[in-house]
Amino acid sequence: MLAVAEKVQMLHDEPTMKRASGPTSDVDRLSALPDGLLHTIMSFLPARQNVQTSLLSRRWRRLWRSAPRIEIDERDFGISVSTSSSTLEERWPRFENFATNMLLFHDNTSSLGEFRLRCRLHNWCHVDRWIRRGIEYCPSVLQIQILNYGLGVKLPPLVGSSSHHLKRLCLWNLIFDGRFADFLCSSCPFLEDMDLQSCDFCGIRPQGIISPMLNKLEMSHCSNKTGYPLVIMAPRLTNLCLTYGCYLAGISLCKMDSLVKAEIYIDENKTLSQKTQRELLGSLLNVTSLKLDGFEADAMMNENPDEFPTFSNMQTLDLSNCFLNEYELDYKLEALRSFIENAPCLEKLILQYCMFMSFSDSEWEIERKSMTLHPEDRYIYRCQNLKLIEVIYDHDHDHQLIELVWSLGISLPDASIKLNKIERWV
Amino acid sequence: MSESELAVIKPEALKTYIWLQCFDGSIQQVEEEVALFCPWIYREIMKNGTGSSKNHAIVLPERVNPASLSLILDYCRFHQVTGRSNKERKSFDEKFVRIDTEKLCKLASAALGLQLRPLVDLTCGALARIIGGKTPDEVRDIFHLPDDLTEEEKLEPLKNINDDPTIRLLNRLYAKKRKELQERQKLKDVQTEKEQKDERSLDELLCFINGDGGSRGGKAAKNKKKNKRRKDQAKNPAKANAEPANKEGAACVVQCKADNGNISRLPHQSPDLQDDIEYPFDEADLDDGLDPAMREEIDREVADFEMKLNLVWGERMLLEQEQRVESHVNKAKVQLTGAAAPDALAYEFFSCVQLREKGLIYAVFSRGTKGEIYTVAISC
Repeated sequence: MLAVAEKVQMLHDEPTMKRASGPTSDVDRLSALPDGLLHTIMSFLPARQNVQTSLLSRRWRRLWRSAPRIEIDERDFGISVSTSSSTLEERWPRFENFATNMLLFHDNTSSLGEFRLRCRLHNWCHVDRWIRRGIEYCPSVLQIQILNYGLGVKLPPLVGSSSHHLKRLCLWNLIFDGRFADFLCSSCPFLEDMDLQSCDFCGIRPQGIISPMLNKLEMSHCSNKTGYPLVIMAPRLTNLCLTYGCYLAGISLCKMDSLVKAEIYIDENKTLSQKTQRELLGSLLNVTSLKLDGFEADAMMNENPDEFPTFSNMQTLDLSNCFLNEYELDYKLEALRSFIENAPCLEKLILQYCMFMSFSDSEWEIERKSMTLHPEDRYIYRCQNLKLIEVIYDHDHDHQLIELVWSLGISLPDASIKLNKIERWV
Repeated sequence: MSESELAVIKPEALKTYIWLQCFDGSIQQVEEEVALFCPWIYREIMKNGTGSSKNHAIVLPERVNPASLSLILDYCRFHQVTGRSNKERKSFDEKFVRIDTEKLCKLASAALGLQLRPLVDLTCGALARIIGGKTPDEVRDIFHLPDDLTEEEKLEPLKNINDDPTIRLLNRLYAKKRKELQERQKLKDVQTEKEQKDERSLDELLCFINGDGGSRGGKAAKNKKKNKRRKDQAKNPAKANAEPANKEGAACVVQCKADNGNISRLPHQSPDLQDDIEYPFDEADLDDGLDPAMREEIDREVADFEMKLNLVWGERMLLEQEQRVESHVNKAKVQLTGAAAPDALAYEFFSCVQLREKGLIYAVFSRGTKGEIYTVAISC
């Protein structure tokens, strides 16, 4: 009998039967700890070991099932970026079995603290189920990271009632349709922190991120594939980070009254059109600290004094990889001036690898031997509070750095300029 | 001197001290800024104003013993200084938790009592590092955990299997037919969608579970042996399985999408198989949960399963199963909602058949509120 044979085998494997309790000095301290502490310990262990704790002793038998955190990660099963497809075929079924069964037997159905899923889209059917199951758990922290390098999976419809606990949402590589916007708007009243990476907003309706309590928003490499501008309306947003992506259909920030810190990284051709860039800058009124990467002179040039609003709170402006196109240095500085004159409180300006490319296009370009600088042409910027300008560069090509520093020095006589050479690609 | 003068001078000797009393009665004094680093002590001082003198010492919660307290105060003393770099703090923390496990457990408990969250995380992390990567025997050794899961308990599921004649028959049958099915599978591979091998064998399995419980109504025509008792089920599973597999959004049991495709196929190919499948059930008891008698609410203990734990912990684990007998509940009610199923459907798991094979596959039969019968399989 198969079963009997196995039973016998098990007995052989475990030579000691029920173990007598040891000497009195060996007291079991671990099990005396309250459930909460044991759950905290288990939260440091990978999901597989969590389940395996059920074999330790009676106390631990059902403990994993009420743990406040579910974390399913394909890396626990040896599946990583570099796994070959044959190894994947071997390992994926085990991972799949584990994940499915774990979700089946986990008890904490109504108030899970965290649900984290990280896997690739090897079998859509199952992954989709796990996502749905995770959402049903009403966690406070929901993190779904699909690693499919190019393909996204459509986010399953998020039924409204289950998300009142949601405070932190982290989604990678998912495709949103119009329902996501509705969901955020109406069903996540307490959402504070959102992190989207490589997500796509698709569909024929205009979409947006409208969230009453959102505090921190990070969007990285997302794209807006609807024909309409993506609307972000988050009156409590203090921290915004927009990194690359594609918003050629537009993106507009509304009601950013609480915004304290904003970081925007763009790639001029792909991310935002120039018009959008200007609009975006215009909507960042209240920021205290602004970091821009990839902007060009045309976007920042403020010819008409009323075009840009006043950045009344801005104290730090950090520009990296800006003003790198072919225009004259004078024009670029003019654009910079026109921008920072709108920030009367500006105290610190940082220019990282700006104004000039640090390598030359052609090998035989001859460096200038002399340079003529005209002090009388210089216009003094009206920035009373600007005390520190930090210029970070890695290579001074054709003495452009000298020209830059000189121009800045003349235009902003009250500010001290700090030069820092930091290699970018070591 | 007046207090204000004292405050102004404040030499080393006149530092403010807080008095703390452990549950065993011992009192000690500690510098104020160190004590205030613990949220619990902070709250006590703010709320009750105690601690300023020996007579009015703050009584600490019971779980804080003197040894742990002194460790905690060392921790606070180090971390409350603001000027330290992250590196310094990290290396202090690493050294701090290099104590034996018993002390570590007590420390974790004490930290929890004083609500010192960073220390709780630090100690729990250290305990987790000790537990991580070890077999249960090793962990039991280190922490002196009682090995109170009896062999009988661990082998319980196997016992159940042995007792059930149906399952024994099924086991034999399955073992016999598995090869045949696998061979047939290779032929089908070209036509069918890409599914994993696990699932494929699962489908076959499901198939003949269904086959006996309810083979496709239409296709039953081929089979002369078809009993009347199976006619009622015949149509239901056919429909029932078609729907949930497609519509179910948030099922909490696994259903293979390929169910439908395969289930309908098999009867065509193997009338012999079907004969064989039905055979045991003709003879089997009525309380195997597969015949229409189940409609009369057969009380059967629903066993819970724990999934098969992976090979990491030795061969024993490969085969080890734990089936929890829900003695207090005969039927587990599961609430399902899903996008395609706007009304919540309650499923009752009222019987389960556990089949033994290397992969340990369970089949659970459940009935929806409308009386449809679903077959669901979970593979381990």
